Amino acid sequence: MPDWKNVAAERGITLNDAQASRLNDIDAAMRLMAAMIDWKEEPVLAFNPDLPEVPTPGGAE
Amino acid sequence: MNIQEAAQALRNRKLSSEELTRSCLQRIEALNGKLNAFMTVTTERALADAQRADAELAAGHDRGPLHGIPIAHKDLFCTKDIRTTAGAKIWTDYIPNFDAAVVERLHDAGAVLLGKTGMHEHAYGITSNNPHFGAIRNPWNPEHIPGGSSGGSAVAVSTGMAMLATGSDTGGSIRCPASYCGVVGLKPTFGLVSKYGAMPLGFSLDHVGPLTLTVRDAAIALEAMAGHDLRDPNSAKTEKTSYVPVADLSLKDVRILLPQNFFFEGVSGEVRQLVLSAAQVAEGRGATFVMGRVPDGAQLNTVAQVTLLSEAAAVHEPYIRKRRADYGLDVAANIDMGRMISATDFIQAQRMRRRILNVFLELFKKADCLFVPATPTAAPAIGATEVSIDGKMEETRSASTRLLRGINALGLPSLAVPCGVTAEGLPIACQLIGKPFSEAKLLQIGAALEDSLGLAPLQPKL
Repeated sequence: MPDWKNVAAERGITLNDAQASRLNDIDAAMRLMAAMIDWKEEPVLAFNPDLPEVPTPGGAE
Repeated sequence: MNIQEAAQALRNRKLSSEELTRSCLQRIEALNGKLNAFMTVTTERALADAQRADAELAAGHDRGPLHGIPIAHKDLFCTKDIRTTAGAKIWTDYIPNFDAAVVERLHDAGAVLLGKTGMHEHAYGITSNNPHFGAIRNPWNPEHIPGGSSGGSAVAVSTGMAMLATGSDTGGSIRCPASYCGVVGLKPTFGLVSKYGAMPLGFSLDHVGPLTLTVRDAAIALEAMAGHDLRDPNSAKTEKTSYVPVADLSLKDVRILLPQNFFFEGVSGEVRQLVLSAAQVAEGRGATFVMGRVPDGAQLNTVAQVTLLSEAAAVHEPYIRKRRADYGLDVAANIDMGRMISATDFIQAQRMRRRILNVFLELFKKADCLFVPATPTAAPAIGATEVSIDGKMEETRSASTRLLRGINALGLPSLAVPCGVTAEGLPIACQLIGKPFSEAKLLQIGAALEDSLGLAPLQPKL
């Protein structure tokens, strides 16, 4: 497991014990899941070149 | 009085929209100081809307069942010339120059705007204990949270301050306060209701939906709110659908899946009993039970968490860099964690979403919906960082969202329907989860359940 507090500190982020513990849990769960994924599986979000031009809400504010 | 009854009274001239609106404004005046449901009350706008609605009805121009009905919007939906804060200090003075899509749609349906409801800061939390604008309080017991992030909307509807309120749900933020306040909350299929003009939290997880006193009122609201919108890149191209269930529904031919794993684990005995009793009521209306197992809920929740932490960090990164001191501690902590999630983990989570969704879609070939609790307990006390679930302690945030947040990652529709009150006098809800765009079926099942339970409207004694 990464030393979350040190990794965060290098990026200028301060983590407390609870945050580091949650990140440990997430990291462990993601490692297990990543081992299940087949190379053919694409992510649910994919770039779509046919997207219509979307206006910025409210235009220029 | 619910929306259906009010709509009838307006058309029979037994009641005017102005009278109805003034009644809601009086409720706000009487209760808001104690419960803190509203951020902004737009009294002049409300009365002008109501008078216009009355004049139109008198002239024979009927915009439908929401014509003249007083409503409120969660304070993250942009409202032209009306302050929109997202419950955040950094947006305290933000006055948009446009309306969000749901604001436009409900206005066009003739609804009367009472104001904007309070929420958990940036919609990033479930307590609605807002460090900048004060705690929103549960009307069933003001020492308890209303749930969040759409806490003000749930309180407004529960107490009759508004007949309908909009909410957003990124990890349970409509269904959690619905359960804790005893109102109906609908998180529609991702893309069914436009997110245009809704301040984002998690781009691929945010859903917009209604909170109401009854299931049929939620259906009326959804009819007005749903529809394709080119301005929302995730908006689905759907046909206009009728969602309002008829009276005296039978549930013959409806198949209900009671999952054998995850959803009934770590749930208080009282909640389990109330939800299973409600399921038996559905069976009494003709529904058939199907047994089955759902994919690992803990894994699904991790996928949802990784997605939310990453997306929310991306949304807030430019703002928190400049104005960190203006963020609440809990929200800043979550954004910091999001900045620690690797791009690889984010992509893996998106691959798992597709895999898990495919398993759920298989389940929906043998059942019309999952019938599960919305929350494992009733509303926790304000300030409680942990809740006791039959003697076992669990973090409040985790307990309040673990039966809800995964469904956001799958984009499935989910309806929270009140199904009872605990011995402590706090309401709880069951949750009906269906396949994409099966809102009409969920509302039909929910309405039949509501008719049989005879609880609606479930309102606190104030």
